[in-house]
Amino acid sequence: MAVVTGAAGGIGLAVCAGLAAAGWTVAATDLPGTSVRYEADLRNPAAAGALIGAVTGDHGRLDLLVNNAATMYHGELRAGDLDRWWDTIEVNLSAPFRLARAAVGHLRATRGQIINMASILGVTGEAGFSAYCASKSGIIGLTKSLARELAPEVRVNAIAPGDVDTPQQAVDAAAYGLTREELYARHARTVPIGRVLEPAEISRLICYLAGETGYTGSCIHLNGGRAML
Amino acid sequence: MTISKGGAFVTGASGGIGRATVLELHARGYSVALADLARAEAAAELAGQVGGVACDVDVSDPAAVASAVERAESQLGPIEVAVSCAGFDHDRSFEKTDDELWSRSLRVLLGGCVNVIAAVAPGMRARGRGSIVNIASELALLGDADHVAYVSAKAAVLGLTRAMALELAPGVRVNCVCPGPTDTAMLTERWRTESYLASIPLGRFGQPEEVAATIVNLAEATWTTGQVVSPNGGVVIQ
Repeated sequence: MAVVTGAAGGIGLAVCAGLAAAGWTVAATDLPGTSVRYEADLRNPAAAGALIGAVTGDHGRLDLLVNNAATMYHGELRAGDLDRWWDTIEVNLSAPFRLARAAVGHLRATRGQIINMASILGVTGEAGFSAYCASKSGIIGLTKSLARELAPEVRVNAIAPGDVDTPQQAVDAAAYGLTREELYARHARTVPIGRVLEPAEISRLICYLAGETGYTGSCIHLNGGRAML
Repeated sequence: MTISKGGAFVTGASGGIGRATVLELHARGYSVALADLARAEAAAELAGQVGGVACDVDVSDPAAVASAVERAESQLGPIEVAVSCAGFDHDRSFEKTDDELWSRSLRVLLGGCVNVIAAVAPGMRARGRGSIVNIASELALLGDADHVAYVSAKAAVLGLTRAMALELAPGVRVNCVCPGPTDTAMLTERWRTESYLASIPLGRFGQPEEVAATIVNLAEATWTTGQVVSPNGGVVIQ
């Protein structure tokens, strides 16, 4: 039994499909109004406990939590503009913490695991994305701490994708003042494999990690060579 | 009488590493503003010793940090170096880490750095120069059991540092120091064991003065930005 947050997004959809194809029962969660079975607005601190309670109430167990939901905005760090800065931290870092805390009893019982979605930007930084970068390096710290504390019952890992072909790319393109095509052309020039990643490639890595019991506290980078880590 | 290198702003200035950083900055010719919370007497005494100014500031409060920086600049001139040392630690199991401890860790450890950057960056940018050093922790690189809120917030400081280094370049540099086990009041009994000491390649805890030297060296390293430097006795090698 797996829970995937941000399941209506580009990567989330592929992860749900990949896990289902690999034999997992998947509880897809996303914001209210999206076409998922479990609606949850993770900005609300109470949502994590309610979501895990609903899923385990319906299915009786939990083996895998995929903390995939995230938000980002483009804007310089400014004193008068910190609300959306902290909103990003809440969704991308605090919600995974709260979901893990709500799930940990169930995961201990099943010797389950957590996979957190980090990002290349947590390691490389990016101007105009300080909250996102902080949240994504923060989630790597969260991953390592939980991996140490919850071992050996529960394994905790992270994946740090580079540029992935999702609707988010259009948002990123706008931030850089480019069209989506221009941004993809730039990726083709600057990413060694010459293209953006497909969501299915992220999904395959998650399915692989979920089945390999030797990993814990790792952050696996999948970025086409953009950052060689 | 040495010529001043300009103003420096240090949070957590009465703590072990903060205090050593204030003394190091003073020794290298900076006029130092000491920001601290609820240790007014110690901060005032140290300020007197270095001819600086002390202010009582909760670094999680953006307006309080902004007004402290404004006061510091009015008394010392432009801030050339800002160091965010303010922090607190805790030993708390994951399951017992409540939302209050989680949020306070983020707001102080991460938010303290954010608020200092937001306060000093506009002036530094306008002047086309300045150097910011965020203090994280070796535990941000390693992870640690019973420290999830502390480690997550400190790890977030690494991403903040990298993003802000790019955002404030080329005029302003932003770097990060991740101290290993340093002999200060924050190093609790849990760490002060023979077996832990024996696991440190250099065979001893760091001294605050050694970490402070790294901090100020990094602050003055003019071709260095976005870097994470960890003086840790060899505890983390990566």
